[in-house]
Amino acid sequence: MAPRKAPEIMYCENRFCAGCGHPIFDRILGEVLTEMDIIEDTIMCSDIGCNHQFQFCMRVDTIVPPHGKMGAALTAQKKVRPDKYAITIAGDGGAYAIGLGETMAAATRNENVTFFVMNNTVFGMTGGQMAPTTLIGQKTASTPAGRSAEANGQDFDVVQVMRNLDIAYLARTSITSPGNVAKTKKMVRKAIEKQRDNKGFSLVEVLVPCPTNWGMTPVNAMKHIDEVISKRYEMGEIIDR
Amino acid sequence: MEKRIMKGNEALAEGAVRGGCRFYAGYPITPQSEILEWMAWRQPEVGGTFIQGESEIASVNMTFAARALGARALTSTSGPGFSLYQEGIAYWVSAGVPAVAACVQRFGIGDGFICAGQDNYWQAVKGGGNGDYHLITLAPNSVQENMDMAYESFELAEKWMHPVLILSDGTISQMVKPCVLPPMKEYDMNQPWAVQGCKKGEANKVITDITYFQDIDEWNAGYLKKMREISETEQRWENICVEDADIVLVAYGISSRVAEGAVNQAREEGFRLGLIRPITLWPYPRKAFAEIPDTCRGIITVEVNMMGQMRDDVIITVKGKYPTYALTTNQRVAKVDQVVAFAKDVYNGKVKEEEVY
Amino acid sequence: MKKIKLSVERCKGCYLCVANCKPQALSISDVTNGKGVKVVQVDEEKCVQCGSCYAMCPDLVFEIL
Repeated sequence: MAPRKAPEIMYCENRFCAGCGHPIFDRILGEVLTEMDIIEDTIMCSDIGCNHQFQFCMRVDTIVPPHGKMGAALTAQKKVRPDKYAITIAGDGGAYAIGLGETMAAATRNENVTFFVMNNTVFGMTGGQMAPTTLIGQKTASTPAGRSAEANGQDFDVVQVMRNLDIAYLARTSITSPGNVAKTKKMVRKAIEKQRDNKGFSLVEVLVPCPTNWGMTPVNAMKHIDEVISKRYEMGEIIDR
Repeated sequence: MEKRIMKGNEALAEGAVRGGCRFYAGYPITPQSEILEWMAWRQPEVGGTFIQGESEIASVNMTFAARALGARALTSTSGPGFSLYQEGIAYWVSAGVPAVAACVQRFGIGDGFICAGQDNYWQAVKGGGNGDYHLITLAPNSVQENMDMAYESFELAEKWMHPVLILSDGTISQMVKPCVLPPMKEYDMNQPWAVQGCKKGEANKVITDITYFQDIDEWNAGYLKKMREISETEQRWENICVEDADIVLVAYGISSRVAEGAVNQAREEGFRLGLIRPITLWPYPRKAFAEIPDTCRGIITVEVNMMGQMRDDVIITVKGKYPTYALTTNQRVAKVDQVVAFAKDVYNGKVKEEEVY
Repeated sequence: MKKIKLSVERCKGCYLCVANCKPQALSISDVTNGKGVKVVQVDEEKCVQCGSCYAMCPDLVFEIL
């Protein structure tokens, strides 16, 4: 049966904006860690950005390296404590812009670590500037006329980049409906199980809304993911070994 | 006591291992690559972890993670790599992570050269990254000190929960000398401050900028108190013939070896030269300067750089009491004769006290 | 028998719960909480305890009893 009460790991109110997708994901992860009974065996690595606010509402040991450096930090975590799960909740800016090198290096080495990347197509915390994932045509604080491939470069799809890597698990999902929340939860569990079974690198990208910076109501922001963003970016399990 | 002939870089690596270092991450860069190569076989041998990071940025942050989980962790680099370390090291400081970095200095701005240098001084002792901090900075001047300082660096860092920097140089790093090996230390990484996974019913730990979870004014006050205590209690130096000196040299690392030779040569000629050798560069050994007689005619720093970086700290220390000069020899280590001649010129009033060297 | 418990002081007023409540048991009330938000209210008669509100709420307002 689907859970009906927030797990104890979520120990206080979060600091996210109304209708933000991050805390929906954080709760999903909290449920999975609780159900797998691995909170004690988990050391989270935080990114810096909106995503890092999980550390203020989840009772789990965490380290916070500089913005985007999770690929490096997780690699070291897993080698120093192979008995602990090494997991990050990252932003698309952290994982794909400033930290793309570290993210890719961890993936190409097939490190036995788990990335959950919250993709809201903008740098949320700093006011909604363009991220690698910003869609062509999308208006942001730093692409006021809309992103153009010519002026701002192509938008970034992690699936295209990682599809042929020798990694354990790669998936993209969203949390726009109760059905998608359930689907995401299964993927989260699978990604962590890959690490448990020493299969190697796993990354689940989660399309999350940023109503504040998109200038939409929370309900419309969810619709925007369903109708626009998830049409641009391939959804589902891409790699499952 | 076990003895072995070793290269400076190898001694630094082995000293760290014997001091309980069980994690190393680094990236190849001359003239420190032997540290990385030593760790590549030595860490697996002692049950530790070796990672060749994909960059210096990755390596410094791997070191952060390993230390946050409790392991005694070292990373090492040289000039340009040390620049890339600065963000990561600032995070070590803000989180109170007692990791150790070694910078084997080479000469030059930007890419620079692979020859020895002492021009990372400003970057090493004045902060380097953003925010108010200094690193506890040790300056070895021999192969043995490379070993001994690496050996004790973790305990020093843990004593203050503050990072330690070993500021070596390309000459010391390539020197080959017999070395006394200290006994192996084992270290339990399950320290109360380290993240180990949150047990049921206990508060979780977050290793981050501490002010996220603590009152910032309170933390600032405690941090300042700590930095003042380090500054007061951790000064180390060696004074040679300072008490009656007419001219005092100040030199660390490779330059201090030349300067000591100059003192000996000058004294044989009846010229009263003295030497202050800072062993810690931060805290700067201000107390060493109290021994300088009032009759001293000038203080000269001897440095393998262009602009006399350490002279700034001498000026701050002596507060105008003595004129200060720098014998800067760019990318070449000064020669003994050159130092003596320069000191004589200063004594005879032939050298202008420059604003910028 | 109560079917559902609401911690409305947590509500930030995104109303994702209302939009996803198929039996239309949830609606926006006139009650304002400490955040200045008009909080959600439930019609227990209509609630089928499907848990959609729990799944969609970013702020852990709901507990299905």
